[in-house]
This record gives sequence, C-alpha cells and structure tokens, in this order.
Amino acid sequence: MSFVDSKSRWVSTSAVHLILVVAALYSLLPLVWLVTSSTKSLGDFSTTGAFEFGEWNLWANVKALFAQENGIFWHWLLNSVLYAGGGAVLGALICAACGYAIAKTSFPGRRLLFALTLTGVLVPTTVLALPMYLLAAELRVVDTFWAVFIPLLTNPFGVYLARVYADASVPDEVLEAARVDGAGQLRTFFTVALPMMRPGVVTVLLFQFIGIWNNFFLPLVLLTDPKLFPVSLGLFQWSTRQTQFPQYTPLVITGSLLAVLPLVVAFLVLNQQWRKGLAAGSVK
Amino acid sequence: MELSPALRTRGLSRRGFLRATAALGAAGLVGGCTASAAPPGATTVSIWSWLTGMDKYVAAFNAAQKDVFVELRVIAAGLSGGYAQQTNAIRAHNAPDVLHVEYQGLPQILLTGGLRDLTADMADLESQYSPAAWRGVRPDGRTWGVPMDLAPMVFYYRKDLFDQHGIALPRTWDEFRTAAAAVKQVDPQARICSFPLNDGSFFAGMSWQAGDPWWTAQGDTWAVDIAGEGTLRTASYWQSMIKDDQVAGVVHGTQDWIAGIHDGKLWGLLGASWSVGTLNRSIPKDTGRWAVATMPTWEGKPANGIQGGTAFGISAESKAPEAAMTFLRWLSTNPEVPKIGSTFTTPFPAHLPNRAVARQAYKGGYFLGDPVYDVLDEAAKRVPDWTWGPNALRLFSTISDSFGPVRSGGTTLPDAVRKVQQHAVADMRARGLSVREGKTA
Amino acid sequence: MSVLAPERAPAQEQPSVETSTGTRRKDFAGAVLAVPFAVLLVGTVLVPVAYTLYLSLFTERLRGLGFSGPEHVFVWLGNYLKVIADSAFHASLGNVALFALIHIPSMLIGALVLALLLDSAVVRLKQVWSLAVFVPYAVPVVIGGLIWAYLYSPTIGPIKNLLGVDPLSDTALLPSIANIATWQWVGYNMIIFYTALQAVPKEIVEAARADGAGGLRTAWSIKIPVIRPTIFVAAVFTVIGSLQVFTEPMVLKSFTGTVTSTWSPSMYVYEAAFVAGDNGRAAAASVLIAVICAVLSAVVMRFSTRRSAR
Repeated sequence: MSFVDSKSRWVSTSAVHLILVVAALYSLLPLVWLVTSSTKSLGDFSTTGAFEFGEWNLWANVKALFAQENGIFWHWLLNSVLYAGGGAVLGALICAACGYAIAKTSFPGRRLLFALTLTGVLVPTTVLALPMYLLAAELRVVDTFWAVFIPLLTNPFGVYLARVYADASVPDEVLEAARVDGAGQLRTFFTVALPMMRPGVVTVLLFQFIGIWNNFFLPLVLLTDPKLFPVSLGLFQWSTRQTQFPQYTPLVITGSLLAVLPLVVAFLVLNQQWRKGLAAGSVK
Repeated sequence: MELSPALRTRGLSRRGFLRATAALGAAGLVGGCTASAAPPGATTVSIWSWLTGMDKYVAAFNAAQKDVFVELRVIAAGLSGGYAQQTNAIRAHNAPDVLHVEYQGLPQILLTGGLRDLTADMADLESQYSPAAWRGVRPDGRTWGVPMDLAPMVFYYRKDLFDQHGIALPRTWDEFRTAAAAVKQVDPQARICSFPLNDGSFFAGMSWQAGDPWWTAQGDTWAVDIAGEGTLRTASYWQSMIKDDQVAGVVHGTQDWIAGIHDGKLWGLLGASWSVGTLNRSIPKDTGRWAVATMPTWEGKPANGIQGGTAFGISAESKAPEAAMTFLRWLSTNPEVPKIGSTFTTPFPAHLPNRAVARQAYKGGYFLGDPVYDVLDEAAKRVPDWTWGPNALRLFSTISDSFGPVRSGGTTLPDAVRKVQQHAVADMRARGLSVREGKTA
Repeated sequence: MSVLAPERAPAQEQPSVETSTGTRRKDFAGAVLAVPFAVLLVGTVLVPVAYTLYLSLFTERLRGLGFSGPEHVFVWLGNYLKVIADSAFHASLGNVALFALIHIPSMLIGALVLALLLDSAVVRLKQVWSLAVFVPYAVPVVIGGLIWAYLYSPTIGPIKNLLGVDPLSDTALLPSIANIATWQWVGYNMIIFYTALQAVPKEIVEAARADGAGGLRTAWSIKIPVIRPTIFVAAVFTVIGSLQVFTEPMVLKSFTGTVTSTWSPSMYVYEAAFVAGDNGRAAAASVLIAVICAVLSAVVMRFSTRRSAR
C-alpha cells in the first residue's frame, strides 16, 4: 500500500466511521432499550416492539418501584452508595498507606507482606466466599453490614498500584527533608506523601468503587436481609421472582434504569480521570 | 402499605381494626416499615418468608394482640435462594424463630437438624387440616411444621375458544391429546398449554397424579422410585406431546408465557391453585374467557398432584418457641387470615374451616363455568399419597438440568427420568442415607 | 514482574527495594501504616484460604433417614476425587473453556481494532466514540445481564427476530453469555489499548508512513508490537475473569432452563456450598479452580514474556 489517493481515502474514512457507528450502536442500544422499556406498562412490555414506546407509564413504574416493599429500593441505593462509596474511600486510603509503607519505609516483614499481597491478587473470589461465610457465621456476623463491607475493603491490587505510585511520585529527598524538619512517619505520610500520590490514589479509589459496585457473589452469600442489599442484589432477587410474579418485571427494569443512570452520569463527568486511571493501571 | 376496602368492611373485629389502622398509620408515618417497635413486654418472634402478603398478615397479627410481636423479613422465593438462605442460617446459628418450609422442602431442611419437633403442639389440630397437608408436615410420623396452604393442580383453559371451535374439555389424557391437536388445527401458532422443562416441582406435580410416589420412608430407609411406572407413563406421554409439537415450552409466568396467553397462543394452563392469581394479575382483560377444571386423568381414575404449598417450621434454636407457635396457630387457623388473603390473592388454606372462609370471601367474575373453589376442593380431595424425600429440592435442579436437552432431541423424557433416578440414588447414598431403589411392598 | 507507571511519572529510574534502603526511613513506625491492610489481608484472604484447604478435607455424613442430623468425617482427598470425577464439574469447565474461547478473542480483537481505529488520524469525534463504547462498563454486571436477558427473551426481545436464532436455546447460549461479557468489557479494554497506543513514539509512526507503510501495516508491524505487553496483561485478567464467570449465567438462569445450576465452576461451588450444603465438596472445587487459575495465568505470563523477549 502506498500513499492513498483522495477517493480511496474517503472510502476508508467512511469504513472506519461505519465500524465505529456499529460499535457505538452495539454498546448503546441495550441502554436505549432500558429507557424505552422503563416507560411501559407490564402489558405493553409484552406486546409492543422492543425499541418503541408504548403508553407512557414511566411515572407509574417509578412510583410502584419506590412503593414496593415499603420503599426498599431507597435502602438498596443507599446501601450501594455506602458499600461502594465508603468502601472505596476507606479502602483506597488503606491501600495507599500500605503501598507507601512498603515502598518508602523499612519495617520487618515488608517483603513478605508484598509477596502475600501479590498472591492475594490472584486468589479468585469464588474461593473466598464459602470460608468467609462460615467464618462470619462463627463470629455471628452473617447478615450484617460489616460482614460485606470489611471483606470488600481488601484490595491487594490496590496496594500493588499504590506501591508503584509511591515509588514513582514520592521522591526520597522530600521524605528526608520532612524527617529533618522533625515530622513523624505518620504525619509525613498524611501531609507530604499522600498529596503527592493523589492521582494514583484516586485511581485506586475508582477501581475499587467499580469493583465493589459490581461485586455480586459476596453480598449474595452473606446477606439475607433485604434492607442490607446493594441495588444489584436487590434487583437480582426481584428478577428471580418474575417467573411466579410477572408484576416484578417493570420494577426490575425501572429499577435497573434508576440504578444505572447516576453511574453513567458519574462516568461521563469523571471521564478524564478514568482514562488516566485505566492507563496507569494497564501500562506495563 | 394500604388497608384495602375489603379488609375495612369485612375484616377484623372492630377493636382489632382500630388498632390495626393506628399501627399501620403510625408505620406509614415513620417511613412505612412493618418492623415498627414492639409493644413493651411483648415477646419478639422473627420470621423469614417469601409468601405473598405475609407483611399484611403480620401487620394484622401485631395489631390484634400485644403479647407477641412478629418481625418479618421477606426472603427470596424457595429455590431462588430462600431455602439456601434458611439452611445456611441454621448452620450459621442465626436462623429466625419461624422458617418458611414448603411441604416439598421440609425433609431437606430436616437434614440440618434445625427444626423443632411440633408433634405435641399440633396434636389437637389434626382433624382440621386437609389430609394432604397434614401428611406433608409429617414425613416421618412426627409433626415438623404448621400447614398454611395447599396448591392442588388443575387445568385452566380458554373456555370461550374451546366452545367457539367445538373442542370438548378433555377429561382424560387421551382426550387431552385430541384437544391439543384440535387447538393446533384451529391456529397453527397456538398450543393447548405449555410444558416447561425446567420446573422440577411442576413435573413432580404431574407425576404425583400418576400414583407412584417418588419417595417412601420405610422404617430407617428411603425407598426411591423416581422412574416408577406412573412417572415413566407421564414422561412418555409428554415426550410424545413434545415430539409432535403439541405443547409449547415456555416457562410459566415468564414474559414469553404472558405474551403467549395475551396473544391467544396458549389456550390452557396446567397450573396450581395459585395460578388463579397469576392469571388475574397478568391478563386482567381476559375476564370471562377462562374456566377451571380438574386435571385430565389417566383412564378416568380421578387423581391429581400438588404443586407447592406452604408450611412453617420453628427453629430448634428459637428462644421463643411458644410465642412462635402462638403466631403460627393464628396464621394457620384464624379466619381473619384468609379474609385478608382474599383481598390480594386467592388463598386455598390447608385448614378446612379457613378454606370455607376463603371461599366466602372470593370475588368471582373472572372465570366462566364451575366455581373455582368447587374445582379446587374437588382437586384437593383427589390427591394420592405422597412423601417428599430429603433431596426433593436438589432433585428439582437435577430435573431441570437433565430435562434441558429434551426439546432439542438430545434426550427423551423417559431416559432423562431414569437418569434422574440414578442421580438421586447415588446422591443420597453418597451422603450416607440409607436407600433402597424402586417401589417397595 | 512488570512495573506499572502512573502517567507523568516524575521519577524515571525506579529505585528498587534493595538499592533504596540507604535513603529509606529506618524507623519502624511505617509498619503502623501497613497494619490495617495486613490485618485485612490475613483476615479476609489468608485465613479464609487456609480454612478452605481445611474444609476440603472433611465431609458431613448422614445416617438412615437423615433426620438425626449430620456428623463430620475426615476424608483425606475424598472431596477432591469426588469433584474430579463429577461430570457436572467437567461440564462447567467445558462451558467456561468454550466461553473463554468465544469471549477472549472477540473481546480483545474488538477492543484492539477499535483502539487502533481511534488512534488513526482519520477519525473525527474520538471522544464521542470512545465514550459510547466505554459506557457499558459503568453498568453493574447484574444489570447488564438483566438487560441482555430481556433482549434475548424469545418473544419480547428483538434479537430472536433479528438473527432468526433463539439466543437462549442450548446451542446459542454460550455465545449469548459471552456477548454479555464482551459488551461490558470491550470498551474498557479499548481505552486501555488506546492509552497504551499513545505511548507509541510519533516519530516511528511518521517514519513508517514516510516509507510508504499504510494504516494497516503501521498498526500491524509497529503499533501492536509496542503494546503487546499491555495486550497480554489484559489477556491474563480476562482469562482469570472468564474462569470465574458467575453473575451473567446466574442472571440468565431465571430466564431460561438451559443454564444449569452448575453451569460455570463458580456456580458449581455456589451450588455445592449454598444449595446442596456440601461444604467439603465446595471447598475442594474452589481449591481446584484456584489452582487452574494460577496455572493458566502462569502459562499466559510465560507465553507473553517469551514473546516480548524476542
């Protein structure tokens, strides 16, 4: 192939854009479907086309959604925010502290801890769910907020990332200077190192947020109280009832839309941060 | 939470009603939680259940007296996770006082040793229950549960279409085959009903009718007979129906099934008593089109199976077994319960006097032909002996797993049934249970 | 082990653990910072893993009708043998193998092609395309699964009419599940590849172009080799993720009977532990899955380092 003449260039440009359009449609149409379907009544849902609007029923669906089981959906949204938001903030901080400690301080067992952390990255969730459940049972904490929240804080990959960030973005001279100024180790971390590591820590935070938001196995296993469910587990539970009770279908669909909307918006807003974070997490 | 007009006019004693309204009103103000505070001095009883409307029963109970306060947690329906949750809770020592056990799940829960023996507490109630229900809570001759309702299987059909096209209501399975062919003749897209292959409890109900119980407790040994003559007869019959494309395959209650009913492509339903509610709710505009009849029979021998049916057990570790029993007796035998129930569903209580109450409270109008409760009553009388084994729930997933390839021709129903029998026996033996294969004398 | 560098990394030469001890703080107060995570790691990973190993050696036995309750018995490797001989476990491994075979290439190739397209000079509105394809990643897996489940549903979803195949029938099920995962992850990996492509030195690309190499050729012989390590890392994570696939089939299970309760190895573990209540078998199966995961990732890593070394 040599320098392309303008005609074949036009063709290839169109072809490239055609592929992108197809990819975008593939990605977005299911979400469009979610929007149109949320506006339909149970009857229309079965009888109208997938992407066309039926009788406008969105408001009724939303009202039914929030009325169901005394407004349990609010609990679910709030729980998801608590698990994912709280877990991500606290988890990222713990990861940052540990990653920093491994990279920039020398305490006994540092290398062992790092080796174990790397092993931890590879342990599948599947392996952990059953023993976690039985241990929680022994501790009598099955079906409590903490039984889900605490395990989700553990993020070995986050520690690994944080170590790399600490290595790369916190120069030893700065730490040395802080030490000369008489700052203690903890104070140095919080006032000097943490701000320098911030972009990295935010990345860990975002990863952990999505990780917790997507985690399904652990809440499924550890929770029976619907008031403690995150939104995915709650909607899943409703979806399993559809076979017997079709009236759950519009609830599941409308609930899905409402659960996805804030995420998609947050996503669009944080777009730049995401890209940086993903890039950092992938570059070898 | 709303108090329906029906409850207001017919329900509850006046005092109870006033208290109920007050309680519900208060609950509404604090955010509509059923778990409002227990009155001082009351014993708290926790219950897990997936029974529709349990919140309403609990609210009524809590309002009607103040010695026992019931806290409800709605859990996932049985095989969708409810059983797993309860079994796991028993093992985790955090089981609620009252557990939701269907007749089919009771023996399996018993394997955990987590239920309280209620033989003495229930002895006085035997004569008041439908025999099928009473047997259901006594798999080994001891009483382990309090029966709530019963779900005999019946045949729902589009009487308008059957009449219009001169198709006679099938009374035997042979006639059913003829009727199925006639339906398909009228509309090549339509089928007489669906035969879902992934629903073990449905297939169990269909086999139950044929009269060879899958399990029998013989002293200290389980006789397991899943591939008995009756079941194989059932399997062969449906195999040929599926092969000849005489039945649909959609799962009952799914959107596809509703769409099929909606579009007049499914003219019938082999369903349980609770399907009344499913039909009413999903296809409200079909009022005056459907009728109910007892199941077609094998050579005219009246019999039919049961699909589902709720009972409740008390946890062996419960700290308030008496209070739990007080609630369960109320739930099972108090006439208020079916009155409340009939405001949102079509209850078919196991407790015979309560069944009469439910029949009274039933608002007809949806169905043509024989009154629904007459048909259900008749169906309940026809239920043959049956014992659920300790692996019934597991067997349902084995069934749905092994029946999967039937529709594509990967296996046949009778073959799959034989495989299920082998699987069940091997599984029970592997767990140390004493098992004998086949029918016993 | 590779090094992950944050963007705009100020320090180019990374002081290794050994050489930096000179400037490293010697006070042990640093341990305080590591303790919270260390406790979490021990409590929520190491102890559970050890407990799993322990559990995998025991089973519960019933007697007679079974109503007298279970007793614990030590069975050596009995649970492992049971799992290894269990055709349901084989079937689950077969399913994820096929799932991986469909999902991994289609997702990685799709992501790579899209990333290369975005990277090519001719594309306008790059932001719009990349965002559109990236958005499904923001959808929780359960909800993504639910949306597709409805779309697959034969009479109400449009896909059966579109393709003429029932996506939930037993022949089409695997690709259908793989498609959910691909839909969810293709944008994520596209962004990763695209970002990695930014690191390809512009001069090299320019030089190649001056030599007369077309877009395809530049992509194939210059861009892809540079980001090959990134592709392999993505492959490792996808392999591990595929082996553990749980949520998508679990969601589809309530829509179709063709998804068995032990469809994937994770579902097998879930079924054994929380439905069948057989902790020993569940533990043994999960240990086996972890071993397979470890072996597979080691193989992919080895393969990638050998390829990169060339």
